[in-house]
Amino acid sequence: MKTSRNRKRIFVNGAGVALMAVTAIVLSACSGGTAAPAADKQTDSGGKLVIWVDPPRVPAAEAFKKANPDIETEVVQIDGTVGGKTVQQQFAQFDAAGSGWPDAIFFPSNDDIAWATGSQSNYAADLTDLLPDVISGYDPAVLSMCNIDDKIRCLRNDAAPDVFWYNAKFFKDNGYTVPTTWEEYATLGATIAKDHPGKISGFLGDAYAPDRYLWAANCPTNDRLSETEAHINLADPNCVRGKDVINTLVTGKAASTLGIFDADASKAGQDLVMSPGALWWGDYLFKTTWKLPAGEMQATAPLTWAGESKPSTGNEGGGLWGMSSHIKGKELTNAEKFMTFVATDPAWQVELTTGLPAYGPVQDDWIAKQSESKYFFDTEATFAAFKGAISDVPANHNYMLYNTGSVWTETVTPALVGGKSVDDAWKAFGDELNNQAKAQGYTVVDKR
Amino acid sequence: MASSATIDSHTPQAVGSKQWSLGRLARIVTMVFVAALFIFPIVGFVAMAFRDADAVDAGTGGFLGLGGVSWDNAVYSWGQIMGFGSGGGGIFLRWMGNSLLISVGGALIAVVAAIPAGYALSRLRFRFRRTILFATLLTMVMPNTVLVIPLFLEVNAIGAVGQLWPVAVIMGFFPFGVYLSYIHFMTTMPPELVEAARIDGLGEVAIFFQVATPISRQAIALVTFFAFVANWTNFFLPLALLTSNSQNKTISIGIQELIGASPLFNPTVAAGLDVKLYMPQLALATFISMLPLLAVFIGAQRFLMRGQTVGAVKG
Amino acid sequence: MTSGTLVRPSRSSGKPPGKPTGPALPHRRRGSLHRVEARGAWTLLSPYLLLLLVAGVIPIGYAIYTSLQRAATPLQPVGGFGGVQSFVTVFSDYRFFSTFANIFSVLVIWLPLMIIAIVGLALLVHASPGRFGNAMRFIYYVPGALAGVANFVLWVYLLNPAQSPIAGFWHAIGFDTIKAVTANPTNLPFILTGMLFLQGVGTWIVIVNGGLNGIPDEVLEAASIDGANAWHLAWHIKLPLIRPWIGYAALMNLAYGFQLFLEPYLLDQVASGALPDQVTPTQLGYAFAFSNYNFPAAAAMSIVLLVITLGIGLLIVFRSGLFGEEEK
Repeated sequence: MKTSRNRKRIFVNGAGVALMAVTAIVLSACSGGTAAPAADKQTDSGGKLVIWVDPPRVPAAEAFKKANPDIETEVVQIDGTVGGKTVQQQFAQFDAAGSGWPDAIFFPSNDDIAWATGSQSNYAADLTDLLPDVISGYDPAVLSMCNIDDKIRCLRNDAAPDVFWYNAKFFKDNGYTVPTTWEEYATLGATIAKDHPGKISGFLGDAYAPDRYLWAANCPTNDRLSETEAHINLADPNCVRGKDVINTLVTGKAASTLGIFDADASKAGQDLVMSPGALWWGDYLFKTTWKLPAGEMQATAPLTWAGESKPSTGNEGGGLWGMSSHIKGKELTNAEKFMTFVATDPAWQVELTTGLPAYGPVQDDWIAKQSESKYFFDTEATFAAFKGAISDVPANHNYMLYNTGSVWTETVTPALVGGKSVDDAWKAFGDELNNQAKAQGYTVVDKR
Repeated sequence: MASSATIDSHTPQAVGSKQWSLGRLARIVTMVFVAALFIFPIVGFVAMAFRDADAVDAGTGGFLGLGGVSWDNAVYSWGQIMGFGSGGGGIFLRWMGNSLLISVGGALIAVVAAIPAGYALSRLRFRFRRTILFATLLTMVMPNTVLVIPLFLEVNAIGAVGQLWPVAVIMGFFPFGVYLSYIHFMTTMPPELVEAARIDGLGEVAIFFQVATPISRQAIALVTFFAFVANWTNFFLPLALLTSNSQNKTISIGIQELIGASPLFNPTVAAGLDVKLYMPQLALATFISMLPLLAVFIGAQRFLMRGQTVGAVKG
Repeated sequence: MTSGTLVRPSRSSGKPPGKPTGPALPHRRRGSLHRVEARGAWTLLSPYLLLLLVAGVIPIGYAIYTSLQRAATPLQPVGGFGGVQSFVTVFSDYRFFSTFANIFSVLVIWLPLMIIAIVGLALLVHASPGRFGNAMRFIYYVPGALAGVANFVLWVYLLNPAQSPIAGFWHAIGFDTIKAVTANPTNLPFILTGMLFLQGVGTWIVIVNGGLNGIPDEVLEAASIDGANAWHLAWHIKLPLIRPWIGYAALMNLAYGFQLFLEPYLLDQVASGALPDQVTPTQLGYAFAFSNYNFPAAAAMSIVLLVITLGIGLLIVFRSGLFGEEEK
């Protein structure tokens, strides 16, 4: 008897709630709408700027404020977590409401440019015609990830190409020669690990590892053909050569499964003898975090693949500035001033920033300032290698709606940490990469 | 039937004998053992807030790190935390203040709404009673990730995005508290009490204020406490409504920002920062964010004791 | 009395009764009394109902409405009515079943442990008089004060074999780095169980203990006079009386477990990204909403979760008498 009463109760309650729900639906249908693409109308605030920056870039915005006291600027500090979804969530809310975007933003993750230039958000303004002078000051390779469908949609804050790091003291003491090709690097790494057990020649556990080895190999993982088409093919010969390098290192016990940012990486870092790595490894990793002894580490030009004539290297990071496409008039003019300032002005790019400026003309000044520290084995050669590496980064690599680095840390890292083979890890990586790309709405093709 | 179990000045006796029986021993041992399990990690964590980052890295400091504890370390860590933020830093205190405002505000609204609602749902008869109960249940089990957008749209419609007061109002919607109040009245307030008051000629609202409220001290304390805690630790609502205004953020999303600026978890970001937020600094920030909750708990303790519910059956 | 004369609800006491009350009222009189009662009820409910509408019903209605829409995509920029298309998207996503499998593996370990611990410790606290019981209750609560993101720092500390107070344990089972601990998929349910347990048990002990405190002392004294010892008292007297509270605890923890989001999200940060971004269904819903711009799918996912939670929840509600006994 209780059950039939219960059933009746459920029915009555369900009916009551259904009534409420229908009412609510009707109400909200009248007021709201579907998640339509962001409004194309542009507004002018009269000149006031709202800037969103992560903590390290706050000084840039403050420097702009100081240099332009006549422009009313509000600096909003945002969460800088790389890979965080906070900004994307905020912008989705703004798109639904049709207002609220900042005038300029430093994207916490480089992948943010993918959704910010997608047709559903369309936040990032087309800068090609608005800031042509600034754009011409960049090496095209450095701006290639801002080049979406032949329009420049963002400005690069700092350049972060991979150079080839090695412990010059170790090499000198043990009579090794610095490799010039990737294949030499792999076999040499295995040799060194055999002769000096414990010495490592690469880190494989962090999200930049695919940039380091696969982007460098021009392996299609992030090849954007259009907003809805991606070229991913891990069986491509370019990818296979990258995989072979990794395999040689792993089987030769020359690679660490840790990531460069892991807490334990500093211990492993003491034994690093060589590795491709971003130019900021020098100051940030070697000097500040791992506290490697001065006068030992050195950078040189990136490696070349067998059969090629030009070096080919990856890129790790290097932030992006975007400007709102929803503004016009005085607000737009001021925003352009801001973008120009943060991209080119020495007050930020030489004096305050810790990364190599992406904007060509101020690079030498930055290098001059940084060279005073005299940390590397051969400072001049190191910085020359920094500058030279910029143009060695292959161009067919865009930031997509999926993050290749995350896929790597979710598949390859646990597999290698758990002792599986590189082939198993590679397969898991490929499957998940394809799945994620498809889940994001891309059609995956094998060839360009 | 006179009740002898009104509020005692001394603690009520444990049921059973007062000697050290095996049962009593077992009870005390079990409780202390579990307490030790709980407190052990917390002590180590709080000690971390008073240690030095290099010492933590090197692993020195002995058992639970208590050997490396010092007040100077905490002062240094506090300096680092206060250095965080644009315009000279100090945003941490602002976060704490904002959290306090919306937690207290939201808790007050929650109590004002939940206690009468719980009473009405439990002791009054009207149509749709069960519908409202069901709707309350529904809102409690609905995943809130997708509710973020409509809430944002609602607040945006009145132009109040980035303000603190809409957050407090939405936090005042506390169905959990309504159920607490509902179950409380259902289990501790006999219907005869309400009938008796009606016979005395009191109207429904008067009955609530004069009869139900005096015996609901414990429910009020519980609802206030839980509303405060829920508001203080709420992550998604401030994230959706307050992120665009850096002056109005709360401590719950603020801690995520500290983590996001830590060299341990976001090294490329932390590279350009003057303040270095390692484990001791993060632990100190987190520990300080805990303190108001513990304070409110201690304050609410006096209402959460046995015998506080005055014998409802009067002579 | 005709139904026309109503006793108006008055705020002053001491008014002479308008009509006699008693169990055997004629139907019409009961109707008018109920109307008075109903009006009082609506008055008392009005603040809550307003909030329920603004923060509960309207957003849920919007979510239901959105789930029936079709998402705007680059290929098809205008949305529109989509029917069950969003649900199909959700069910056919390659992560759908694995997220539920993950949730189940956590719930199966955590939920029974949680309920037993809550009820057991609440009973123990209730049986412990005065300061000792209060102190124990406070200590059980302390980890719960670290709810939310604040949990993160504590767990980095606990899970890192280099710093953890239980370092010996980690080394004993073969984990030397924090990445080894967190990147291992078999550890995940246990770590999540630990996180949820430590964070939630104290709060619920306070609630259930509050429920126990509501039991009149006469009942307990009468039972003990009848010769019940502490164990008998707990099992046969207290436990049945707090059935609604236990049901409430089971329901809310089940709902929280089903909608797990924050803990796997934090754990992913602790593991430096070694965990999949979508471990739980709610995370998948979030990804639909903010990574794929597919709000209909996100809404559909929420509704799927809601229906499941509600289904199991109603079972608990009715079995524990949470909705009250039969009305008079």
